[in-house]
Amino acid sequence: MSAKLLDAAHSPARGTRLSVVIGRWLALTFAVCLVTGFYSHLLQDPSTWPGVTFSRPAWLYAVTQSVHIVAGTVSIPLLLGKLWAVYPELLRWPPVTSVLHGLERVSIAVLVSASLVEVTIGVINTFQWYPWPFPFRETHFALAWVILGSLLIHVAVKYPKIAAHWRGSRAASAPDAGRARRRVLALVGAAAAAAFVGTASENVPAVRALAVFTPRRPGRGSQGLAVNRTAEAAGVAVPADAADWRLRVVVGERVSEFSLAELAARPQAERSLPIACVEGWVQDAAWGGVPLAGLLEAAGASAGDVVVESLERAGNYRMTILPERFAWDPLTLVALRLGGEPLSLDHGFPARLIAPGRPGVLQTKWLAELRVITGGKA
Amino acid sequence: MRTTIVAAGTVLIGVGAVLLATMLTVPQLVGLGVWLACAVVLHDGVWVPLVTAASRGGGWARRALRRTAR
Repeated sequence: MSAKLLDAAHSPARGTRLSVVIGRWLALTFAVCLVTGFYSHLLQDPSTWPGVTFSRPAWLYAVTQSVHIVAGTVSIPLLLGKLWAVYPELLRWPPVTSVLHGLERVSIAVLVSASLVEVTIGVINTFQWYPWPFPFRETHFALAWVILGSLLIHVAVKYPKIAAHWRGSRAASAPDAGRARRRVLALVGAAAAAAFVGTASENVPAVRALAVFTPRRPGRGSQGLAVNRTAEAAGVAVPADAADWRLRVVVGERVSEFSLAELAARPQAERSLPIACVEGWVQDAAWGGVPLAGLLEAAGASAGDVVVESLERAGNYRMTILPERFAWDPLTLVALRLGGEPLSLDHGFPARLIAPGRPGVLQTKWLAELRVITGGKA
Repeated sequence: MRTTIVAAGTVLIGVGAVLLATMLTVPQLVGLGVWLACAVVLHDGVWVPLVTAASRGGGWARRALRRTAR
């Protein structure tokens, strides 16, 4: 049975050399995803490891997250190619020859299943579709640790074979095997290149039409800027005059309230800052509004992280923490205008946060309250 | 050295497992388990056999074309 299956799946292209060549590419894209993904996670959960996220350069997150999405998408054809290369190993008989071999196969099963799920949910998430019963961000983050661990085990176990086939050798394989291998490599390479172009071009205006693997083209949405979560989806309704709306700024016991007119009467600033989404799209926009640092000083603060609350009643990002480095960056605004016009409701009217170097989901819309905390305490 | 790396890898898998156990509820963990199992079953049981069949078919077609060309 196994011999027949092996025979049916036989291809002269398969072999350790093919595994090593694709494996190297895959190791590179996975490493890039790991580093950029951890950075994004730290931004979204500043309590885990404070002090390692940066507001400058302002485009830092736009770059790290675009790279994350591109590298992750490119990983898919590489992963499929890698698994194709080692498929006969799956059908080996007997399946387990010793306890150690059994454990190794378990680690491979963990590596393969976690990797497949990781890239699959990553891509589906960029389409803002969540057809799974678990929370995306937490799962994507935890699986990254599992993949890193099982990949280290895999490389350590296979090290002698990897070292032996790190450099190609013409003598080692028959000419038709070499030809077949190069054909497979060309196919996998072409698929990876297509994945690269189909995602990376999303943020290059001149070639945006090539971004066939991305769901949202920057530029769609009101006021020429893309919108992920509309006011309707968030359940927020503010009348156009915002007569009853106040921005509360809480510093210790002291509570200050600012109406829209009072905010508009304060010193204004114009900033060009990107909205950089976790899903990989980036769009620069011209924001106008009140520098946050000045507003916090007016409310009696001189330092500290800021808890930012939205008018949204529910949602994972209703409340976020703006670390000190971002809150007091002179580029950070309580934005009232976009492209010279008042914010549309979908963009966060009456006022929204815009800070450099942060994921778009943390650029809180429909601001309700800013609460300065120091040392984690209110 | 290799033993150390295997040990480190095991610890990191443990970190991931602890993170999952603390951040996900039991039904969510069960759902994740189903996804992990389905990913392997679909890949190894459906995708690779299809690719294998397609490449067999491709090879057969190429040979047939070459025969007719002669």
